[in-house]
Amino acid sequence: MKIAVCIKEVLDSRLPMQVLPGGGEIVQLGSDTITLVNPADRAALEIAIRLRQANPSCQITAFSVCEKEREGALYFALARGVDGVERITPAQQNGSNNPTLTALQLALRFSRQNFDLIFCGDETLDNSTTMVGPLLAELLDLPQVTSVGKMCGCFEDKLVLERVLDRGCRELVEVNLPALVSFTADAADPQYVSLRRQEGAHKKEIPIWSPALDSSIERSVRWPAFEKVVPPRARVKKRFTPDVKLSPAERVKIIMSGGIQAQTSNQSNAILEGDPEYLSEQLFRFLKHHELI
Amino acid sequence: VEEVTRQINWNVANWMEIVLYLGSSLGLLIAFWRIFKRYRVWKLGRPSQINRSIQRGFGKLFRWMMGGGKMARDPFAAVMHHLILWGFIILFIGTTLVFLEHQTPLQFFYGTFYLISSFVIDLGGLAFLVGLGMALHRRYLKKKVRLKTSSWVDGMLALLIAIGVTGFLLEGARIGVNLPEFEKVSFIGYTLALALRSTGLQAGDITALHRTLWIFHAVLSVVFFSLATVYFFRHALLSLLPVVLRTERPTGALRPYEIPLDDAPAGGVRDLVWKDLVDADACTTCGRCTAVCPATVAGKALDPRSVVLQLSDLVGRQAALTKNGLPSSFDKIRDEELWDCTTCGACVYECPVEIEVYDKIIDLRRQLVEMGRVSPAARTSLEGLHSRQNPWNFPPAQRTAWSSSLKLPIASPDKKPEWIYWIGCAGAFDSSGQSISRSMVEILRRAKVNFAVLGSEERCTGDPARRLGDEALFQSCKEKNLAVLRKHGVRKIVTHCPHCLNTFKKEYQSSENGSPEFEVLHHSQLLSRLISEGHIQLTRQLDETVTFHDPCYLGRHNGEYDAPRAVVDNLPGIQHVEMERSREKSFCCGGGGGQMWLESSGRQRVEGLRLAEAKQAGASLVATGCPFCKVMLETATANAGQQDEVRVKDIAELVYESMSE
Repeated sequence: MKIAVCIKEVLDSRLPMQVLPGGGEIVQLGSDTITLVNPADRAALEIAIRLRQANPSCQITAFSVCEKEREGALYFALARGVDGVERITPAQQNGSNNPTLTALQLALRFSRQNFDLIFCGDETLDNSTTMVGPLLAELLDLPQVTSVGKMCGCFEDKLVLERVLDRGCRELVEVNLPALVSFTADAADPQYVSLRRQEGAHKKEIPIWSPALDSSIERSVRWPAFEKVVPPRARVKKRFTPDVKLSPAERVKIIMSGGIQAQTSNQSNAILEGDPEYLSEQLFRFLKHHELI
Repeated sequence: VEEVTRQINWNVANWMEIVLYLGSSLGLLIAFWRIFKRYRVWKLGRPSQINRSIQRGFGKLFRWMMGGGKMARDPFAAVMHHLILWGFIILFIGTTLVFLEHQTPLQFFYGTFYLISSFVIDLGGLAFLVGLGMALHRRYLKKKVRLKTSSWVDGMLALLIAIGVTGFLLEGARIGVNLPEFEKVSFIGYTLALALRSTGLQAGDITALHRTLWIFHAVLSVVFFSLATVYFFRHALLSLLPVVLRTERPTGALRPYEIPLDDAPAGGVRDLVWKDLVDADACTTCGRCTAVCPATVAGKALDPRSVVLQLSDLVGRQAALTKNGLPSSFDKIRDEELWDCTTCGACVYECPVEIEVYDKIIDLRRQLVEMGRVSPAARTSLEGLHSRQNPWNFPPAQRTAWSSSLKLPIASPDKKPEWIYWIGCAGAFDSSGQSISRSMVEILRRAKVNFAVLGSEERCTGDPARRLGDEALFQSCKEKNLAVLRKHGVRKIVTHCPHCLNTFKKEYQSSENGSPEFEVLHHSQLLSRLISEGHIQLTRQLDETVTFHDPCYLGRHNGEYDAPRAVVDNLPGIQHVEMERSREKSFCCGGGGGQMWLESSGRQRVEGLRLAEAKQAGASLVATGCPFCKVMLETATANAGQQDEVRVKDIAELVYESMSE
């Protein structure tokens, strides 16, 4: 089985960021640039490696559409133990930030060589467009399963996957191969890769592929540039800390209720009396009012 | 007049003698072969440097055999071992003398020499048996918990006692035949002879008895020779190896980890250092390491003795291997055992035969890291240390945030202060640690110390990386930090973190080649100096009962016990009490060796045990000199709901408190 994993090295956007005026370049505040392998891509890579552990005939190749200075993710994939890597040079400057161009280039690459499975992360930490995977599947005319949180089973010609939906819902799906699967960052607990192994991977050469896209297509793909990032308006946040003098059970109750008990403590408690129909109606209203149901 | 000498083998047929010699040789050959097989396995181990000269090693062995070793910390055990050892040596020499007299042309076993040797040999036999009696006492009557019992050990003790007793009976029977007057010097043999005679046995009966005893004694001795190098017995022979081979590397410095890049270590004998394999085989199984290990005491998975013995088991498994195959230490040692170690060094401090216990645990951790077998918490902190330069994963830009209002002098290449105050990650990011840094800055300012900080140029020293097993990450931290320190021409560093202190002092520079590149002081050392020189006046009464908790990396690993105590003693109004375990015997807070970032398992928490000790000493305030110890003990007070009863403070905070009017 041949598996392609699409990965990207991104800015650690959990650190303080700033968009420079003009070009829309994003920089980190107060430190040298700190990058990491996009967490969702790393989970996809991890799942591919685990598939190979169960089924040693698997061949894993990692791809990244990026400039030379952002090829760290490929070295990381080598250190983690993939069979091969390939860097695809972006069609335009900053082209790796354009999901359409990225998907077009990857599609071009994958149409030259057939893979049984294409793994992606479902979103990146930087632009978070969540588009590359779906676009790529459409371009290659492959079935796609997005936002997969768990790999439940892998058979000769199909996969069983669990998708993560809104509001905590889960969806169990089956997909025939070949297919494209995009994983969430929580899909796998990634393995630690020691610095020694990472340094060892840097001794290897990364093959480069520079595809030429049809220039008319290339021109037609537009992508907005960043102008500014507006952080949320600063608001005074009421911090709630439970009283240390309360028993642990009480404290847990208060924390679980989001401090409601504490906030309402200065209001008078209402005692309702009446027949069961009236009481249940009042209770229902109370719950509805506080959006508890 | 009778001739004062001894008739040798007068009652033994020639063939019996020959059988004895053949049997003994065969027994010794078996014993030697067993060790040789293990020796071949030791040789498979990775190379490791022994930077001690052989003469010094043997000098140490001599002192150790004369009772100057660490065994003396348990006087009962020391007396017992020395009685058995020296008793055995005397008996062995005695037997050799008899052999020489009998089988060589040498003639010396006459007159005064014979009388003196007979007396000494009897004395040796007595010592041997008394020692074994003591062993029985502590194993079966006192039931000392740390000792490992097994039917092997029981059988071996029985064998030794049987050899000793039959030896004396044999002597008694020999003397009992004629009862020569001069044999009174063999005071035990003569007494036994009289006892035999008093039972009414005649000379002929005694002669027959002598022959039976001789055969029995000979068979036991042959069995002993053949078993001399099996499990437990071999410690008598092999435990001298770690004493001779113990490196002079200070305990705080971990050894480097050099394996070829293509190697994928998997815990086999080829992945371990040969010295560790020798150490493991030399283990006496005494269990002193286990008795003091904070992880074991708290009911965690780790039992240091069992790790060492499992390595010895690995040597055995490899030695018994006939076909290809790779036994691994991870077959029997669980990962969580290795991750429980706090690297407090109590095991190494206690080991009577100088086995470097926790080095083996770290070495195995390094292999786990290479295999990627790291818990998510450890992974997060190691990756944070790599990318964000601190194990807490704080944004690097936040490193100087704590001091933004303090207007600290920042070092620059053209401005050379006398001291660099190294804040460390705990002092910069952790609120409990920041309070130490702030106090320290105020003290240094008031004492008019010419100092500066490195600000955002600081990064983690790599201590957690090294102790969590990522050696390459440590080396990269070391390189980058040394480059910064050299850029600023730093000569003197003061830090409030013993882990940073240890890394700078022991792991960034080796003490062997000449003078160190820079001097590193713990803040307790600088503070005690400033106080004694009168640069700071302590005026405010604190009115507390204070106990000082020795941080492992300040005390055991760096030998500083007095400076922090001097600081505590100078605080006005305090009463200084000591905990039951203090100084060298101090009990870890549970935060070292990367434990600060790992999940805690087990029945109890190490820091809770330590807090209980502090409370038992009657302390209302626990002073310490390490931000990790402070956090751990603070957590313990919060977990016990005793924040109001016991306060935890760093000595710098206490000094600052008592400086302010």
